[in-house]
Amino acid sequence: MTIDVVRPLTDVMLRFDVVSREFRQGRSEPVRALDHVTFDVHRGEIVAVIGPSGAGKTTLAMIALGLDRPTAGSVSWHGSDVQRLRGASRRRAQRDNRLITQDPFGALHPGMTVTSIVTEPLRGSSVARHLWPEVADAALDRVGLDPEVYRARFPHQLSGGQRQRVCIARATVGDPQLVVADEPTSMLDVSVRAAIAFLLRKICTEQSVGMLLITHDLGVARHVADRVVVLQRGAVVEAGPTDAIFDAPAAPMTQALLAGAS
Amino acid sequence: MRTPDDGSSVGSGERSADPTADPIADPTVERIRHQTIGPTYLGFSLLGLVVLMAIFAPIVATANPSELGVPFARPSGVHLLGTDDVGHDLWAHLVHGARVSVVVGLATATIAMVFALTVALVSVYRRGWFETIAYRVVDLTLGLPFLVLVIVVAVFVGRSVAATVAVLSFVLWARPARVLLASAMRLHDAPHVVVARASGASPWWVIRRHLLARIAPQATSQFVRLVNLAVLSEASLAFLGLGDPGRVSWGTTLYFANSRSAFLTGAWVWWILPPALGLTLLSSGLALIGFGVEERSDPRLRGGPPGTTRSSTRSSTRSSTRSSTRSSTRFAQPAETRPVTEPDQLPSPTSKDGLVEDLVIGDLVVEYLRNGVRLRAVDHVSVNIANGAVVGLIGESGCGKSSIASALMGLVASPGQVVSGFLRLGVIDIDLRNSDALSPVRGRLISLIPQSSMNALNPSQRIVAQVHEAATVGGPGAADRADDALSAVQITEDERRRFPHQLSGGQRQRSVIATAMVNAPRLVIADEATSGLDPLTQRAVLGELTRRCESSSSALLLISHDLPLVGRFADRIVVMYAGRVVEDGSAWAVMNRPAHPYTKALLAANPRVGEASPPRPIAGDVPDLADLPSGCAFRTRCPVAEARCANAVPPLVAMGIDDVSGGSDSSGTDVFRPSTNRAAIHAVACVVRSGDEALRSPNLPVDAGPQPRVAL
Repeated sequence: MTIDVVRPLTDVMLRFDVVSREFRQGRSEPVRALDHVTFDVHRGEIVAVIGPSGAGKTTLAMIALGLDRPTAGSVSWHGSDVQRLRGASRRRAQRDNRLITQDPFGALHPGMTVTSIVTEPLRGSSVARHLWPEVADAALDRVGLDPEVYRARFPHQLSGGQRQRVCIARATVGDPQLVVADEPTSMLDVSVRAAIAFLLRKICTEQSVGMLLITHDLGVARHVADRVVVLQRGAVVEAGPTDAIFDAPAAPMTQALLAGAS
Repeated sequence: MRTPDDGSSVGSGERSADPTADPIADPTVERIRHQTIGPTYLGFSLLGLVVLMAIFAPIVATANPSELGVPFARPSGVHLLGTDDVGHDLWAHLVHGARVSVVVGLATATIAMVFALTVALVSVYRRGWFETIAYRVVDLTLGLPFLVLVIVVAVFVGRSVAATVAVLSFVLWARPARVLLASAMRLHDAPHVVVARASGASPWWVIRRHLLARIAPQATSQFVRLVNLAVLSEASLAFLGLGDPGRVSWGTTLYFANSRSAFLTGAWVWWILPPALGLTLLSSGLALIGFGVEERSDPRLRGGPPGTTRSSTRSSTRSSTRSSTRSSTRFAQPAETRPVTEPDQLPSPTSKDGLVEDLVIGDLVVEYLRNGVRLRAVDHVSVNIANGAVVGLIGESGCGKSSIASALMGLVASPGQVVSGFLRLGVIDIDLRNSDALSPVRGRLISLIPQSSMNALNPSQRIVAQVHEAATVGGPGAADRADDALSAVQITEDERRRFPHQLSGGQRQRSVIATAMVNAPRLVIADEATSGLDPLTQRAVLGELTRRCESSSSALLLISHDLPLVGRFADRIVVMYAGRVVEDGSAWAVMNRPAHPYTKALLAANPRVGEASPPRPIAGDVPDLADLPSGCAFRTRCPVAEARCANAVPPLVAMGIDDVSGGSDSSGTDVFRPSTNRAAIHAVACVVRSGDEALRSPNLPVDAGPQPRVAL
């Protein structure tokens, strides 16, 4: 499946090149979680990956972040081929990746303050340590949390929406290149979903990161994503600009998903 | 009981009269915040006492422990604790014995713990063969006959303190290793660790900041256990004559006391009690330290500013159990002394006729205790459910939805309390304050599908057995009912004999529904049952559930934060905010002609696929229950709030569907025209719609047509 526009290669923040991932369990037939998946995520754009449960969305996220390896195909981050990297050089390449998880409750270390959570990705970066508090305050400000109020709080003193904002603040410090947001809104109240989605959009545009938004909330995808990739049983069945996909879905899976969405 | 802070709220709002309105003014908060520091100091003091005694033994006890003297001497200035049967000074034995116990206990525990931690953490990072071997070795060590091994090795190595420590470390490391390995594995996959790893955090950082910090409480409790075990094992070895014969220890003292007639004489008081007390003090001290470490590593146990409702319900299990004893006296008071004069006050349940057929949740008030402060999670909520109707109960996290479910099932946990409320099931009236009163109906007339339970079947039990188990509550004929219920959800004979993991997600969800429906209850409560599932699955599950309820004429209470989803299935929708009902009406009316600003905001906040206009998030956050705004709790986020919203809680006002037109066209009286009369918004802000048979509510005259009652 090819993607619409040709852009400079330097703008590619994440590239999946015919990636497959199989899981073997005992002697049974291997389960193919990803099946020849190809797509790019460019600087400053949000690519939404949608699909029903079991379509391989989470496997895709894990591979995109280098927490899992494909059984075939290659993945590259901001220009470097991940496959050839090992150990410390791999971790250096990972430094500009960020993950925003589904569960804002588990995603924050309960024993760390908001400031120390937000500055965690700065370890090993070029940002001097005495600047970290400033960086953290700026990040909190960016996500709409008053640093004065929230910087010394612990996660249990925050609501679900506030926690997810802290997660997003953490994803913006340093020099992020690639942000993978794995169902960032599905565990939140409907009332705060839109706010979090818009925040992702803002971060992506202002900081020129490439964002992979994995979601089953089609409403969120429709309003913030630039492009949409539809996944069904591990394979890309449809991909293209958001409006095109939502206005004229071609694949039966996309049509079914849209019919089911409110 | 009005606190000075409430000066601004001059209205009749009950919040201002709530004694818990200001948590800082409540002295119990401060007390609870500090009460936990004491035990830690006490723990260190006890440990320090024993350690100091061991270190300075020759100074503390001047007598030589091996020196013989007068047998069975009474305690005196010379012999503080008297002497034993051969005239050894018992005080010297106690003090010098502490040396061996402390050294063996601490050294063994340290060595075993370091080894266990190393194995656990290396296994996490070197998964694969190392992990497999680690597990096998741990299992093998756990399987070794502990005492026999100790004896054999002790005999082989020889009798010395060092040998004892080596032997005990060798057999004792496995259990903590097993426990810590399991925790570390689980933590390594916890979202916050995955996030750190995704950004290239080094293994050392992850271990130090994320793994060690979070398994510290467990490691500490294991350490305490190891010290205890080592001290007692040393005593056992000494008891068997395998201790270092040249040294006095508490174990040998006890051994000699036991074998040499201590109990036949009065000497046991001075002979046995002191070393036993020493052992007790040592282990109590360690236990208290473990308690403190746990508290330090988990800020939720530390008190501090109150968290939000959602997080507090998650963390309340531990923190509130601790505070419950202290505050139980507060709960023992008559819970409700406030004179009830509000317009939305219910008439007494028995005074109403014509509603006997219905299910009524009446005047429910649920309160929780947090840091010694009483918080009202559910505030005079009444919901009237027509026979077989589907009623959606909507609200954001912390609005009290789940507390309603808990109250209806009699499951409000001990720091919480149902202050008032009844449930009417046809002719039965149940007082919800008494959870025992619910036991005859629980599972028979009411069933609950709890939060995110759609995939939560018992993995070790066959489907049919699980459904059958639920059916037995309903009396004889359980097997038939289980079969019928499973057939109704199209689970075949073959499938129902399988285990949950052998079924597809859809089959599991249908089995959960079958379990809930097996006794054809009058009322099924689904508490966020489908949250977290993808939208297609959510719709399929709710579709199946409503069909099953329809065919068995059960009423369904759908508790959810997802108004658009519930709007597709419910006949009627009740919207809650901060523990109160703010709108109540037919699903069509609430979805298409929402009256309350909150309902409107909820609908506008939903990102919709089919709509070009972007969603509008609701500004701000849900207020904390401990810090609710006076008057209308929504006013801080409400786009049409005005000054008097702070003064009083808007009453529920009955109105016709046409009375609310979304502000575009007007009908009815002026009060309902937001564009010309914003005050009316306040008056109609909380709405019970009427004029629809299904909408009769116990707190309103049934004949209410369009009935603008401006109460303010």
